[in-house]
Amino acid sequence: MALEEYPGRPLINSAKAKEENLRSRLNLLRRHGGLLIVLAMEEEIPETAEQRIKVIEKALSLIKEAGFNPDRIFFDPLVLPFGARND
Amino acid sequence: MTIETIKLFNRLGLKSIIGLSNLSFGWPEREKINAAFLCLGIQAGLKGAILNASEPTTMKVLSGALTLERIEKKKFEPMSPNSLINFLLKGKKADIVLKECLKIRPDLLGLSAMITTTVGRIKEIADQLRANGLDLPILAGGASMNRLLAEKFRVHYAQEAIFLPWVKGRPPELC
Repeated sequence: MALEEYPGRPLINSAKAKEENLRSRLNLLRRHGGLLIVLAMEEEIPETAEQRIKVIEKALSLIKEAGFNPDRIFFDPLVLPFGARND
Repeated sequence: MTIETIKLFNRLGLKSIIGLSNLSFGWPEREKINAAFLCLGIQAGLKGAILNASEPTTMKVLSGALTLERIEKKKFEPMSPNSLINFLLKGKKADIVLKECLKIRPDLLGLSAMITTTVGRIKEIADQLRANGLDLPILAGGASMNRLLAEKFRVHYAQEAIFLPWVKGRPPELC
């Protein structure tokens, strides 16, 4: 298991904001320490900034409920190839 | 859109991170697009980026942005007027610096020597202050200063010191 071998403070990339996906990553964080990146998406990438924030807000309540300080989490707004979508 | 999302994250007090090179996927001269976007992101309050560290332009933009941020922060740090000697004694001899220090009784003295011919002046000043019982910390920097010299002169080496003579309500006196 990479997290057991890693000598520094690991940054786990990436958890989707979906409940079970996020929970399993949070469990890794609880067991091994480190930081986590949460993507502003569930199954699909939301179109607008507002929709992405909604997804993140949901993830945030789950993170807090699981007893984590949001300080340990980075949130990825999801950069897409320029021109592919409205970035 | 990403920039907008970063700003919304900020409002929730959340730290944002991006995969920078995603943006330029499929584009020619990716590096310039990456560097420009990183700059926009930092401006919007981005806290982290996974990026290609072998791109010199991107790394320079990053280093430049961090330098600006540091200066910006320093500028707005509250400074208490008596915690620093707030004027420059440019090109002044040791005895004049001593006289001013005896008058003002600063908590700290900052000295800078830009060329090797003037670096000795720092030792001169430090010695004279000590000889007159002024035991204040002396920070010495400037292009010709280094750690070894600082030890020899018995002063603190100020490698990244920036002098900002602005003190609220008390304009600096430039001599």
